[in-house]
Amino acid sequence: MLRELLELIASGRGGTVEGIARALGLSVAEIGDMLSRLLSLGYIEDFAASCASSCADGDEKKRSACADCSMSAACNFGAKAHVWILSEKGKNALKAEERRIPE
Amino acid sequence: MELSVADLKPGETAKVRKLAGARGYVARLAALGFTIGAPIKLVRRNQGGPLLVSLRGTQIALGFSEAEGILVSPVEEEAKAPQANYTIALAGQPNVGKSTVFNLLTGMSQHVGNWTGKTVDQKTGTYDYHNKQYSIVDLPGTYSLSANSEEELIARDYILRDHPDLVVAVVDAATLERNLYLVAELLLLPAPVLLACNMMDVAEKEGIKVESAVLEKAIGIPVVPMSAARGQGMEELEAAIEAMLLKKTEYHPNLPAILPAHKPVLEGLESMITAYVPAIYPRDWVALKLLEGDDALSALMKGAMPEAEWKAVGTLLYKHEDAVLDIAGARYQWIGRMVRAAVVEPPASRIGFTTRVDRVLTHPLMGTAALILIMGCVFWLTFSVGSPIQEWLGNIMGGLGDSIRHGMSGAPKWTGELIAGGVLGGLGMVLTFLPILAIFYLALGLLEDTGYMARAAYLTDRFMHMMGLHGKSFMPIVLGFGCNVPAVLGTRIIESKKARIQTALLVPFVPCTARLAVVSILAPIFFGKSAFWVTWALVGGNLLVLAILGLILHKAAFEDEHVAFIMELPLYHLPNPKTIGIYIWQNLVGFLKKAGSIILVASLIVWAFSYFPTGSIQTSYLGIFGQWLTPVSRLLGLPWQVFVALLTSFAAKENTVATLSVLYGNLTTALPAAISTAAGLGLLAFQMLFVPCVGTIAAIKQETQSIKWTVFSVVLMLVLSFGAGFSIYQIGRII
Repeated sequence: MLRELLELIASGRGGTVEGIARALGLSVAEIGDMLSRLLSLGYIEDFAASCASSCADGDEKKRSACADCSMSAACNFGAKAHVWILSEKGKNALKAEERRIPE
Repeated sequence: MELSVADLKPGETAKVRKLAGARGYVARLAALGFTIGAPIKLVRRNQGGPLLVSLRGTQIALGFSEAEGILVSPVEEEAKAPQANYTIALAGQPNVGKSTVFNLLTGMSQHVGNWTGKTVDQKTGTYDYHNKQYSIVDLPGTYSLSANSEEELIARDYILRDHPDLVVAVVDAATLERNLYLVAELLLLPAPVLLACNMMDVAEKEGIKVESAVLEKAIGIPVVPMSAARGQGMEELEAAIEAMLLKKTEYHPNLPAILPAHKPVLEGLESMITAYVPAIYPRDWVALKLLEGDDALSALMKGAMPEAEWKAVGTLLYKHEDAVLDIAGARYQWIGRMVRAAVVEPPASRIGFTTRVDRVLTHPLMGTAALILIMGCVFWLTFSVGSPIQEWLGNIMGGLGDSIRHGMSGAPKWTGELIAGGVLGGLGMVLTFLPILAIFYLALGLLEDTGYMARAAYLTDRFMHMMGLHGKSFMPIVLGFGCNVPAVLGTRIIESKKARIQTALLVPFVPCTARLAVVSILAPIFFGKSAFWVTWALVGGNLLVLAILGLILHKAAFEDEHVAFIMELPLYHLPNPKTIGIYIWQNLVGFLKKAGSIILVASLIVWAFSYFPTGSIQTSYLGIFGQWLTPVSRLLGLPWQVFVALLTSFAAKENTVATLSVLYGNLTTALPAAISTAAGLGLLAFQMLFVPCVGTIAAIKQETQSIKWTVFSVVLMLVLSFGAGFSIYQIGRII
């Protein structure tokens, strides 16, 4: 189930959590919980959370780059929308799966 | 005649039959432990004073009228000493009403301490039922038992080490699918589990029907439906706990399956570790957790096993490092089966408010139209409310400047000019725009907090798809609406170097908040009440340029880029005034800080160059430099002063306004006199497409690692901004 979700994220089909839920025949709540699980296991990353809030509490490089911006304190455009992307671990898991299937 | 607590004699025991009063009052009584069926004993009756009653091991004082509202039925006195003690652990996710259940069971007989060696609160309490005493341990709220947090470790270690007689898993009936993962993990531990299906009233209100009898059959453990906040189901829970502990209940849990492929791996792993697993841990559970990659148990087993044998375990685990996906995936399949069996959700209730609204607001056509309309409303609100206030403040500032000049007539002329023209003229005039900015931020804050901005981002994704810019490029571009700097830095998530460079080149065409703020200030000066139409068209123009450039770039390099993300849109909700207040405050403070530093310095430099050496702007250093630029600025229909102001925005976008204020004084009256409407529109278009601030250019250099591409970006924007300003002015002149 989680592998299917990872594959779906990687394929780009679905677009939104609702689209994914329709594709897998599950509820949005179930997909939401599975995404939280994949996040805690390190297979996906929340891009929006890491980038949109970068001015306020992101990594040092981004923070210093934002230092001169008058809007940096409240730079949270789109922070409420989670954008889930595969992490390196997630990509590797799918690659390993691809290698395993031909066997 | 109905019997109430007020009618009891001291020492007499009865059972709570009914609670009379308003709903809130009844809920408060229920929270104190006055639930239907709870035994209550009158301890003492003071003449004219409160009644002292004993309830769930606690003594509570009641007013006479309160006592009259608690209706009871008499019972035979069974005042015997408790016959047995049982320990029950209360488990559940946060916010499922676990504390309410705990409070209702234990009443006031609670003790709050800390888990040994931890900073996490430990709540314990007792209650009596049918002459037996039950100790309750409230475990920390956790989403799973995977050792991801201190709370999860505490919860599972307690069950493993202290062996409670029963675990009561409290779940939220309204979001059962999000609660059952923890139950699936609890079932693997060596303690029987009873499911308290709480918040049935909330589920019912949302049109969700949980068939507890079916759920009980499906999971194979007792399920008690309840609504603890209303005091409903507590007696049934107490009865179910007793029945389970007295082995009067069937208990055959249906556990999540393990994939056939993993069974031999698990068996092999178990045989490798079996001699070293500490006695308190079940061996099969430890093997499963190791396969799941549990760090705490890995550390435990590494310490317990000889190095060579642990190495063999490590090799096996490394080979199956992604087995957790299948193990956790199987739990989700199990959850899906349970939910499909026991939860009846009428199709109509699935279509919640958010879904209904999103059918319009995320629709390709209707959503785009709504986005255009909403952004138009933002600009309209900003201009129609903010501009009159700004004009009023501008007049005050102008009058103040004149007073300073007059008041300092005895001092050297340049000192008065420095304060009136440099400080008040630049910084002061910029500050008069604070009301416009406050309203602008208020509108943006409202859209962000209600969850609409996320839809705007989603629609932007569609827009990017239309021009072929799908994939990871869209995210930095969307972030660019906030600030271009983190947006350019965000391009590093794009693997393809070519695509990364091209996205970094596109980001500066997204009008950032600062760019929009400057346009919000200048547009009403030229266009009055029509300013919001103009601003809307300018934003559209920028996006059009972005789309055309995107299409060209797509043809060049984006053909094989795959979309590798999904978006989760938040639910719509009413905006929180505090959150929006903080958003506006942070933005305004940020703006003020900048006004006090960069803008003040820039204003003073511009003033100094425009005053010295002759005291006349035409013959000043800036005037001489500006006259050099006149042939170029004339092509745009702009005086050299405005062109210089545009150039100063290279340091920070807001400098345009500060410089114009230094050179012209009151912009509201001076600018329309100095520039035609066509040139004004050209100026705004120029500002929207002009080279981004120096921070963004530095970010482009950092991300592209190329001076060539950085220069290309600057030149491209210079050409486009000049081209747009020139075209608009020349066409406007002809019309």
